[in-house]
Amino acid sequence: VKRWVRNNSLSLFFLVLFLATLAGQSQASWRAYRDEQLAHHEPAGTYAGYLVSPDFSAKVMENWQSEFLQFTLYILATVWLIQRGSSESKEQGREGLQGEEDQRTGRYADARSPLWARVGGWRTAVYSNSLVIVMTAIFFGSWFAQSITGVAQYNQAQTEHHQAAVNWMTYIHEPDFWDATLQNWQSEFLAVGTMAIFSVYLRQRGSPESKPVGAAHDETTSND
Amino acid sequence: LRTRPGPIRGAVVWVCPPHTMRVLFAIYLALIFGGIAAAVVIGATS
Repeated sequence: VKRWVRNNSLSLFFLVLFLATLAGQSQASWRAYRDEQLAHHEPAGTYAGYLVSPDFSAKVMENWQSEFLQFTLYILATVWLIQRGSSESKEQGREGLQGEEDQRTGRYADARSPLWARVGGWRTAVYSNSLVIVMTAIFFGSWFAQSITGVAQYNQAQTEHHQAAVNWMTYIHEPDFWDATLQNWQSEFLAVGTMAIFSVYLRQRGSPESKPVGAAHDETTSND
Repeated sequence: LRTRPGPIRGAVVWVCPPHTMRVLFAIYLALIFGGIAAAVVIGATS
């Protein structure tokens, strides 16, 4: 068990952080919601009830979708685009999907390669893009969930303000939906752009996200 | 820790029995898709 924990410490660390911060978010968010409800002389409900409310779900989903969009676009963009000197980039001349030898598929696969990398055909084509396929599914899934919880939340507010409820199709054209969406996207794109260019000039000793401390600024050292 | 020579510039690749990591892979997938499904249900039934 100790060895298993050590072998998986990165995933476990972030799993624990995720669960702890989600719990923290739910508490803080509920308290803010409760205070606002009480200020408006409305019933606050219970914490358990808040956990399954559209208010909390929408907040979680809008953050999820932007994170998965960020990683999906980064994975895709770095196939074709480069940043000279960045640890996050491939070297010049290696842009694109690369051949079977580079990617160790088909006859270049070895005995330990995943089955779907070895067999060729549609299975290798699917497996070759499986990371982006799953990340894209999560992005669209959580963005859709944001819109569904968002419209429920929006309509609750409309009802409280004695205004007409809207349907989903109308809601996804509302500024409310795009405000929640774009406020998350802008920060993600700033962060990835920053990472791409900062890693040219700045270092973190010991991190695989960084070049070695003594690497030249124009040295591009992705393990592609 | 077992290692073998890697394909890239003489790097060493860390080889670990894949099944020991599947648990975490499954937990992450279940959390994410479970979370999305729960949110859709919450939104649709509110």
